[in-house]
Amino acid sequence: MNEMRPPTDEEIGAFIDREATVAERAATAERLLAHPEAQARLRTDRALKEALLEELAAFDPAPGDYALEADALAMAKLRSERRTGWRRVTAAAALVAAGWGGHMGYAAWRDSQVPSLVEDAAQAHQVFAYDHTRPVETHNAAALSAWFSEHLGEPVVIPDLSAAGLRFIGGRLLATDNGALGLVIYEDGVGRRLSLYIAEDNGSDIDEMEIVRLEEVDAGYWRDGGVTYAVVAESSVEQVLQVASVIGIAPDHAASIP
Amino acid sequence: MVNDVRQQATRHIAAMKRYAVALCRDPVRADDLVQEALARALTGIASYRREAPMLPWLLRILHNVYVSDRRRPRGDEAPLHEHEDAVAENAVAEERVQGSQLLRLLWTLPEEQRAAVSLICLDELSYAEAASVLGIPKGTLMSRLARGRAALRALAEAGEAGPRARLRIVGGEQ
Repeated sequence: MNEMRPPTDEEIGAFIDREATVAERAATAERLLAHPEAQARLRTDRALKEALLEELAAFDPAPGDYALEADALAMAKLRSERRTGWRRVTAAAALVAAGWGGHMGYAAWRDSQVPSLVEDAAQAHQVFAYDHTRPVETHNAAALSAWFSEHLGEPVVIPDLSAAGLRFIGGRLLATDNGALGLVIYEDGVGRRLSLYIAEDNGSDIDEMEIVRLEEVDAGYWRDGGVTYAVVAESSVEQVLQVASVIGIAPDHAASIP
Repeated sequence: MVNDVRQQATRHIAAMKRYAVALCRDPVRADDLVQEALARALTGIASYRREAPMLPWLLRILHNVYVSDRRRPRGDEAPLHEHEDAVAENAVAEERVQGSQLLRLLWTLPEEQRAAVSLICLDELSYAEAASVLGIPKGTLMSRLARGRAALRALAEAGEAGPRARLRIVGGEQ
């Protein structure tokens, strides 16, 4: 027994932390028996572990100490920075300017509230679109499509907007009060970012495409085949409309719009 | 899925706060750290593999937020006395810190050792999981842990009351 070396600090640690296998535990126990001074180390380390946990637990938060709506949190910052509210504009003139055909239903300006999805979308655009460190979680359109489809409960295709001069950057899924919200970011030739939002259609009454404006941001939104889309861009109403026309509302659906 | 993650994350908030306090040495800032980590976790659920345990993933986010925040010139790694000034703004937190002699010792450890020791002291993570939080091999975690514990032991023993008396004092205040 006198030949036996004392247990190392790592072996004592593994013993305390229940990381050792049964055989390792037995070997460490044997070394501990042969070296009473190591037993003191074990007792001290174990007591320190328990006491530290107790001291750290003294700071445990109360329920509700933290906001668990991540986007709400990010957006709350924006709201406090710019409490400007929505200013809706009629986009009829812009429609004409864009040479946008009458094949797509367009709701004229009305007094109804902007759906919360669109507020979420416009604010998320400001949070994420120009976050040059990590605006998106994935740059893989196929993965994004699968990911969105799984969480939105509808097959979702990530639209190719190259016809509108927009390059696909990537996307991410956001958590909102209204459920999952898919965000896809595109960039135009001069580096302006445009966000496309895709959400499950929760029986909203968005039967026609509507355009709203908040400060520098234009947002267009519509519903199509169980999914609600919103397009947000700083650039112009024209660009929003162009994107909407590339993604397209199914002709049948457009025709059914009064 | 998003709601699942939210519900699961709720169960781990206490552990996140404990680790945050150990890391940033300031209970008030620890709250901001936890909040920011939760926000990133909920917007970044893409990087979470559902079959994997959630706590290591959450703690890794928290640790990364801590590291990137510290790189900003805001003095997160300011000397301890400056932190005490900041903490003084919150009387409750200050009182708790004053009562936590052992935490003060923990806070004097180098960050690498402090992180390893506090992750394992949470008593919820395996060595492999703790290593994954820090993005280091398990062997590295074990040696940092052993060095941190040895330093803590030495510090505690150097205290005039001796480690066992000190630990009794700490326990008596809970």
